[in-house]
Amino acid sequence: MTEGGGAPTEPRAAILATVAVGLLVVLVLLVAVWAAAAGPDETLRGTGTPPERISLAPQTTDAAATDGNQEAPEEQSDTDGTWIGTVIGVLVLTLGVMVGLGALWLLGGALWRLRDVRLHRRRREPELPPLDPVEAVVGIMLADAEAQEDLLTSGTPRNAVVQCWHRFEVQAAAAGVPRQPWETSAEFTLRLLELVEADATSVARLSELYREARFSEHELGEDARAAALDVLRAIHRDLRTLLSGGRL
Amino acid sequence: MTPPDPSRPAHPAGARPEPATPLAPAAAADLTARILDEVEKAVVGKRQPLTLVLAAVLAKGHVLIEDLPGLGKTLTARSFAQVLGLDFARAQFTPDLLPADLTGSFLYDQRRGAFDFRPGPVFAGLLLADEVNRTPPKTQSALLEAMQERQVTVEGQTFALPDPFCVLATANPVEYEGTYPLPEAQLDRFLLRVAFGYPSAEHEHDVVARRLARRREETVLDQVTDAAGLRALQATVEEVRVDPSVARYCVALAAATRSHGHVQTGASPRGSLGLALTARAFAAMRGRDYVVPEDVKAVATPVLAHRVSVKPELWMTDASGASVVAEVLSRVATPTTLEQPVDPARAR
Repeated sequence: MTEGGGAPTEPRAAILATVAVGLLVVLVLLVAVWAAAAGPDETLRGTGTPPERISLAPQTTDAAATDGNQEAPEEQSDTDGTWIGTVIGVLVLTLGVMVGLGALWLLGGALWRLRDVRLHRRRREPELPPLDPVEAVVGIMLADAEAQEDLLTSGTPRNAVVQCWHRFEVQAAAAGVPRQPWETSAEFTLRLLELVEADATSVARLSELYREARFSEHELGEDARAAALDVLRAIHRDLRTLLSGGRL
Repeated sequence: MTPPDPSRPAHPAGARPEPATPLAPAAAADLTARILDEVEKAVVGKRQPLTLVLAAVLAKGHVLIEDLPGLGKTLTARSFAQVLGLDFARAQFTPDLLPADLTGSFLYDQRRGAFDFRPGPVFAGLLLADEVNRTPPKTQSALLEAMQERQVTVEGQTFALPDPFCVLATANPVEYEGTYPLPEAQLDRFLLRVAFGYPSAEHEHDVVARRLARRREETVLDQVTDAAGLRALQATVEEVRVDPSVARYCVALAAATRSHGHVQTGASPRGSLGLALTARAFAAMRGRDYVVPEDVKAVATPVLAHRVSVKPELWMTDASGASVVAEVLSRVATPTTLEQPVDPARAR
């Protein structure tokens, strides 16, 4: 199936995207933490013009200047610089946190998508066991042929047909091909008998008899048992031909 | 809108036809095959959706056909009406359509000096409700109540609808301007939602060739059965057995849609009932008097998909009612091969 063939690339791409976003998140967080811890003086370096400190002290009269107290404006300037640095630090930290949160959101989205892709893949590809042990299935079916016929010849016709059909499931399970829970019994057994190249007409007839025996409530007579026996023998004959003809 | 036929009497409440006698399973299968063969002369290459529509008619349900213009929705309804021998009425649902336009109303007869009931198009064996999402909710509700209760009440008087009565409603899934999408609760009233899709190139050529060969627009189909025959088919469906394990499978499928991660609202119990009823009709059409799990699987998507509403945050993804049902079908366990032994404690 083309769907199945293209599916494996999707999770790989999703994993790569997830890893890339994760690395980006870690990088951004490291930069943000470093910037917040170092402060603006460490962060902003270079040979540009040194920052000009603007004195906010009011221009006083000459009398004020001559009273000998010239340290006050310098102290005021240092306080303002610390305050501005704190504000810039907080802004950088906030920015860093926002970028970090954004990156986390992206990471979350990527993980969600990965989960969705996996879910979707699981839905489209119900992990069926490989149906290649044909030889094992045929071998077990033929080895069990007599016991299966015995089931069909004992008990009421209804129960006999159902038990006979159920025996195919038992044989398949023994060969390592179990029935999936979502598969109906008829779907599974038809798949199995198709696998071993049993005659389609015989298989369809036996399937019809099984469904009638299992789900109807009208009378099911000996003719149904006889018909099922004929069909079962035909299927076994096909399998023997398959095995002896060296087609396996 | 097709004018109502004044000569067609509106059945007073309670005046129902006698119950029909069921047919043998093989006879029912033969009759339904002939019906489909005849309808397929007009609606080419659409056997599978036509089978589903007929299954809904046999199960006494109503069908919502959601598809693009020109894909044979009206033709399907008209063809089924001809072949089934039912009265056909078509109501074009427009924004100004009123409930009384649909149900009918009392008109004053000056000669007699009394009010007479003039039945609306809803009094037909098969009603085509064309573009049902173009009319306001008030008129939609009037139709959906009639569908559910199979009777209408006008001015305090109740009138029974004909038996059989079936509605084929159409909706265009592409145009949204000036439409009133049916809410989930009302969608639930339709037994099935079916889409026809574009025909293959070969079938499309067949449509053109047939039209050119017959030298006229309309297609005349042979009547295969009549209202009494359809009632007999419906009675046959009522006789079809549903094994308890199959009924539980229907319930499990509907319940699984409710807990699905993509779903805001899952299928109601009407969904599981719809599954069982449609599967019965499907079985009868195949000449069986019992339902098998494959019947349920075959009808699950058209029965359940329109009853499932996907979470709004997934509207831009490929998640849909159909994808939810497909996922549920690939997960829910089917009936066991052997009949489960009856628990003596429960049997008591």
